[in-house]
Amino acid sequence: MILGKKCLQDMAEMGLRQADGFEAEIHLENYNYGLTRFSEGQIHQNISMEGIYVTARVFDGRRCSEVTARAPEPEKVAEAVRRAAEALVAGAVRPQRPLPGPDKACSVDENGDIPGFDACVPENADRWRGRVAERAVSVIEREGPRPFGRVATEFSERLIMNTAELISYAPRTSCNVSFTAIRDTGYGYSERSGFSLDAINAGEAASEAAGGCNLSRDPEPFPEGEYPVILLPYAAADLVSFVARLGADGEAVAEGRSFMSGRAGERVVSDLLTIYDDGADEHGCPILFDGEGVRKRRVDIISEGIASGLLYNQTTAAAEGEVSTGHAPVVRAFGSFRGGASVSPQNLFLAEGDAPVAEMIEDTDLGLLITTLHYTRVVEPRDVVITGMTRNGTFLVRNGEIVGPVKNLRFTDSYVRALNQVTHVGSQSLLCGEGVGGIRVPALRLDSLRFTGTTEF
Amino acid sequence: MRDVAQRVVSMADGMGASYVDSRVVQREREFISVKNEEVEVANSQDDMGVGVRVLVDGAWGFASTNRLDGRSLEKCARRAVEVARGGATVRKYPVQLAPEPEYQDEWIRSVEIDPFAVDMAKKLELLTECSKEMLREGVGVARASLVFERDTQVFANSSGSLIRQVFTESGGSLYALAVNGEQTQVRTYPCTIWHDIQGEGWETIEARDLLGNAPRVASEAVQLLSARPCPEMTTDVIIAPNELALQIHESVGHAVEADRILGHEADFAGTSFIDPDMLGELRYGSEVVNLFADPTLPGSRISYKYDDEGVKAGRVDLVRDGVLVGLTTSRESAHELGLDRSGGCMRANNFDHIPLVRMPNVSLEPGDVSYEDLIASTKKGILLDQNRSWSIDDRRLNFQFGSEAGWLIEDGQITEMVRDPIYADITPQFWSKCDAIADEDDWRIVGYACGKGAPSQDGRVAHGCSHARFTGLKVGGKKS
Ligand SMILES: [Zn+2]
Repeated sequence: MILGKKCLQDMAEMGLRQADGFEAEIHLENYNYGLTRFSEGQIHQNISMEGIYVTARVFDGRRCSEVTARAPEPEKVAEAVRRAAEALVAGAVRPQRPLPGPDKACSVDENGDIPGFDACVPENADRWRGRVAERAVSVIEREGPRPFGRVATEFSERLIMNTAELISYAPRTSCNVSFTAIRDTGYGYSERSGFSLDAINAGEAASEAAGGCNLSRDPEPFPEGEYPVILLPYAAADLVSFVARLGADGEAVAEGRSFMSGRAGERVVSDLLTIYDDGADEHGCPILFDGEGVRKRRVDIISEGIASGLLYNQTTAAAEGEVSTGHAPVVRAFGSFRGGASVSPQNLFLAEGDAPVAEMIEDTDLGLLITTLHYTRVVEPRDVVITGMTRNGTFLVRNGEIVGPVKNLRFTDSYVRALNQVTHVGSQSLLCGEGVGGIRVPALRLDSLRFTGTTEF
Repeated sequence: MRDVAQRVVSMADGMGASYVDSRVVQREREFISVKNEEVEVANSQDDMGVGVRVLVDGAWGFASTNRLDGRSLEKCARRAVEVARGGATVRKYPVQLAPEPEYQDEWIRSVEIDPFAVDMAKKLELLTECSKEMLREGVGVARASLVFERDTQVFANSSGSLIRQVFTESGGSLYALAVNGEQTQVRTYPCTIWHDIQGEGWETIEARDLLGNAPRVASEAVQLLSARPCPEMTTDVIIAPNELALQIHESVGHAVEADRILGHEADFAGTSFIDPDMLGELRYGSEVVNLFADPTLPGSRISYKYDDEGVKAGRVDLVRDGVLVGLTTSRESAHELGLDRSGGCMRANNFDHIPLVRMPNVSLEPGDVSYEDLIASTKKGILLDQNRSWSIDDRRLNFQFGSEAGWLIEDGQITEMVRDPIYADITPQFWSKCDAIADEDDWRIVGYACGKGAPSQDGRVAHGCSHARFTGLKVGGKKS
């Protein structure tokens, strides 16, 4: 249930009154997440989670402390601030982090037209997931394969308030489906995301997964080596995401950890590529403000191959004499202990080009068409060297035609090097990625990707 | 807490569920991290709520909430029943559970020094000192972290079980990143990014002597910048426990999970190369390889007496003398596989997630050679320490692991340090190359975390092992 701005604001105000003269910041998130998963055409997991998180941060010059709780009532919010203020006494040195001030664009009226919010989601989420699962199962089974998949819905509202009079509030919604079709040795996959239920055409997505699966049966072995590749959007998203996350972090650039360190204004990847992050673009799942309540600005990270923009939060911007771009990660407080990056591009876009996938295939003498990349991990962060596997349908292209499926391959390559090899950018993009934001990319054709291992399937 | 757990079970029971279980969890957590002598995070957390899982018409439903008043509990129970009814429309067969007796019991993991009772100022001082020690010429990031967590959990089900368990855990680690404009190199201690969390109190932090190790960690990171790349070769590889633990995790732990084998993760993480028919038949490794799961190992962060389905835990053999003999299971998967009983491997991360098949202390039994003799008996080889990158395919066969550092071995002596070592292989072929495992004196439990399921749950895991040697393994330097 969406509680509305006033309700959350009342809770936050009550908390801020406990700040005892310190600078303070309160985050409230009221969320509802539902997920329906099916395996072999049977729903085996069906869940509905809800709750309210509060994170209270209290600052005193160079000291800071933070308390997080799941807080159903206002008293809990106040208690979190009191505990944070008490703990501050023990707090050690931390870089100055100026609190951001108010910005009207970050506080929406929940009764108005809200970017990234579809009121149908809170009303219909549970029923919709069941219907979509049913439809996907029947479409995939009709075409032959065994159906697997998941259907997720989320609606939430976030409010951030601080002692510098900032009030940022917005509700948002997101829906995501992904289907996997399996038939003996064949695998197919598809994915759709959007902030509204209407954005998802489940039948078409299910048919795509089933079709891919039927084409990928009985794959032939194919040797490791360096080949041209056509990456469907699911696979292309992985390259764009890693390059933006590891490369465009202003702090990493300053510390010499990024391939963009010292290269502002230079060409770093193919001039066919323009990569940007835009929290307002409704072709993604909009996020109006970041984890510090600051409006997300559009940042052109790479413009026609040129390194052109970096991402900052309040702290890293202050350290570099920049202004926050609104990229402090929006994360739920009960995250992992792994420690996070200081910024996160959560609404990435790779600008569309003019090549249909069919043209990429036609222009390939010998190469591979890849549906998805699996378990991709950083081998070396500075050059964005990544290893991973192909998955869910890998196909051999010869003399301008798909000739058949091949067994999955392991690749190990620098994504920066790979993105310097781009020959075609797809004409139709797809919103990929689950959960917060998403990444919208078209297919890509690269002249080379390095494959370093093979499998038996 | 007992009251809430039982109330929500009887509510869902009254709404037509054929089986109900609930978990009420209260969680305290502290995460402190200091980077370059400045506090990055000083976060304390406080959380409580209930999750209720139901079977209605043979289909699962789950709902959770952090509102614990009577009305909210009833709404939560109703949501669980409703989503189960919604799911029952897409169902081929009713879910059935392997039988399990009911228990009324309590189990509290004991620790020597309560980590939450240790002063925040003392913790911050330790981390700041460690960071200062590591921050030297060539080091760009010097990070020291501490984490503590305590879960107090009550499980109740409609068969009458009522179980209270308390889990306390502590971890802490060092991370030094060296940069020279061309490359970055990392050294960590005692474990890459998971802080080597143990089911112990502050005593485990004292025992690991973070401050004493800080200068070594930093200087090794800087040395790696000028080390030569690991040569391409086929050689004997000795893998240190902190790296081998992740190898066990990825190429054994996930592969033997019954839910993956039955396809429940096929839409996401993937399946497994293992088929239930392979039990007793598949040669997983050489004869010296014995692997087991044991949730009752003392000192581990994942250890418990009952799992999150109320199943009493015990040891399960997975690989005996190199042959696959067991799997990690739940009540549902045990029934599907025709087993008498669940292996008791179900754990959930917090109250708001469903339990999943987890790997409770999946471990490699120690061998009979001392660590010193293992090195001394290696004519030519390499010692790999600390994982830096890992990747494995969706059936858990083709993997590639990178380590922070390697040390060449010549005639039984550790010689030169090399950078960016990588090794890759296929799971059963890899374990078949294992020819010697160091003995009990070298054996330790490495605390890890594992992302599994959707929505992803950052679950507790740990793996026991000692140094082990693999003959004729292909290694090389970073490829880019
Ligand atoms: Zn894992």
